Amino acid sequence: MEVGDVDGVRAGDPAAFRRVYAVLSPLVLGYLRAHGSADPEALTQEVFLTIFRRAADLRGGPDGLRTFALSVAHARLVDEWRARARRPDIVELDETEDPRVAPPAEVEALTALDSEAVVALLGALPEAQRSVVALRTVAGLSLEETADVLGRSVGAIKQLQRRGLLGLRALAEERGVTP
Amino acid sequence: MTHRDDHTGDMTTLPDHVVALLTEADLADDPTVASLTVGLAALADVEAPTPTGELAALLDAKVRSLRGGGGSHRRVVTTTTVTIASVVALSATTAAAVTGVRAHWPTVDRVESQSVAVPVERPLVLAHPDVLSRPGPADLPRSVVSSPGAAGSSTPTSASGAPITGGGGLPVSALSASAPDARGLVAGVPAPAPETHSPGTAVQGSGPGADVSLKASGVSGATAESPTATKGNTPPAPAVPKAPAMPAAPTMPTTPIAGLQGGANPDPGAEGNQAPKGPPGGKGKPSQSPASPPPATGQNGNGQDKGNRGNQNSQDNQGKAKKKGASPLAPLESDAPSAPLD
Repeated sequence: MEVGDVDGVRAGDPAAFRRVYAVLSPLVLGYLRAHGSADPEALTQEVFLTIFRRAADLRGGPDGLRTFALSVAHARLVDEWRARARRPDIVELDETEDPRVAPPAEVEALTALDSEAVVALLGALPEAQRSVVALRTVAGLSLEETADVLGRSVGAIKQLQRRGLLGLRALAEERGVTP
Repeated sequence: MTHRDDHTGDMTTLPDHVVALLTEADLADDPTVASLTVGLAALADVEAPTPTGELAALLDAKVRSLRGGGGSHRRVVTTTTVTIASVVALSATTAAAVTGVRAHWPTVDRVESQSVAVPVERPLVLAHPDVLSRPGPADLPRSVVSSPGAAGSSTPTSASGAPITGGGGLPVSALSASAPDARGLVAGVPAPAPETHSPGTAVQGSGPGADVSLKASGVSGATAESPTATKGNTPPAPAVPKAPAMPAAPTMPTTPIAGLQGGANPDPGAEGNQAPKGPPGGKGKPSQSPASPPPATGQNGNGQDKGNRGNQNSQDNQGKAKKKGASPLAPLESDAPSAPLD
């Protein structure tokens, strides 16, 4: 994604839309998946519809557009959390996913440190730490950009990311998910 | 910075943003944290999701522009269209309502004219020679002596020939159909208050299934309708030949008619000023009441109890009719079948 693409988005150029979508949608989708979104694909499309509708008001270059995209994604995610809190999902109990049941060794070996396992570990972190770690690792945002998305100071982001990474390591060791 | 792949064991280069993160967190030497962060970064290594719906149309350039903030141009056009359509529909509805009201007024005028003209036929009954030749039918409640087949018959019939089966729910038109012979049977009965002769109360006291013929016999009818007239002053009804069945009088409002009859209708027994011209029987001769009015023609007070003021009432009613904007005189004169009376 280049500066020209951002200008094309501002001008309503469909080709620029496609390029921006190809670059940023995996980040947004990964961020939503890292947070365990119920329907990350649909939410990703809502995010980009919002972005393209407000394209005329965009300021900054590609980094600004990426930050803005993750900000919208985080806002949609918070909306989903609130909606889920009002009406929790009811799912059937699956013994294979029950953490109280020790998985077989072969299953544990196959799933060690893959994305799903990491997402499961990440889900055990507090929401603020989870968001910081996901934004830094999945979306690749800087400290300042993460601070902008979450509305926190850079210092607070530093503390949250350190606590989050240490928490992930502790959870991995606790559950036996180690490299 | 590199780290060992968990599955292949190969050393791979960490992404720059992961290296920066580990450095900032002072965890660059921790292989576990490095593996975890690489696993998280892999979440973004996916294909872009296939757009659908509105987003697909946008990316395929099927939507020209989404500029303009939250509302696109298409939405603005849609909203404007809906607004215009709503205004047009509302205007059309209002115009239709106004047109409907205007179109309704002539109909109302026509109905009022008819309501005035219809009761004029009632003097026809009273002016029948059979009626005029009998004493005192004037004070009889019209609604009670209505059946042409009441005389000598245990089952009265209406003007149309249908038997009257009872008072409750009995059609007023059947009861109000004038029958001269029935009037003669109960001649001399003072007329009750005009209010009691309204169509709804004419057959009070006789519930469903009651024998109306008793009322028409001249005795029970008087006791039922006018208790004050049953003190032995009711003469036996003379045998009166049956009059030809008259057509049933419509049950239209008669209030404005009585007064009009006094001035316009030459019916001799209709109202006070016309009464002297009629035969003596039209005055209600056997009646005990000295103030017995001339034969009543209607069920309203103007026609029965105040027949001597017929002209005045006629004028009043005409005046009222004029005030209302209706012109009841024209249909009265044209519809009044005065020829058979003379």
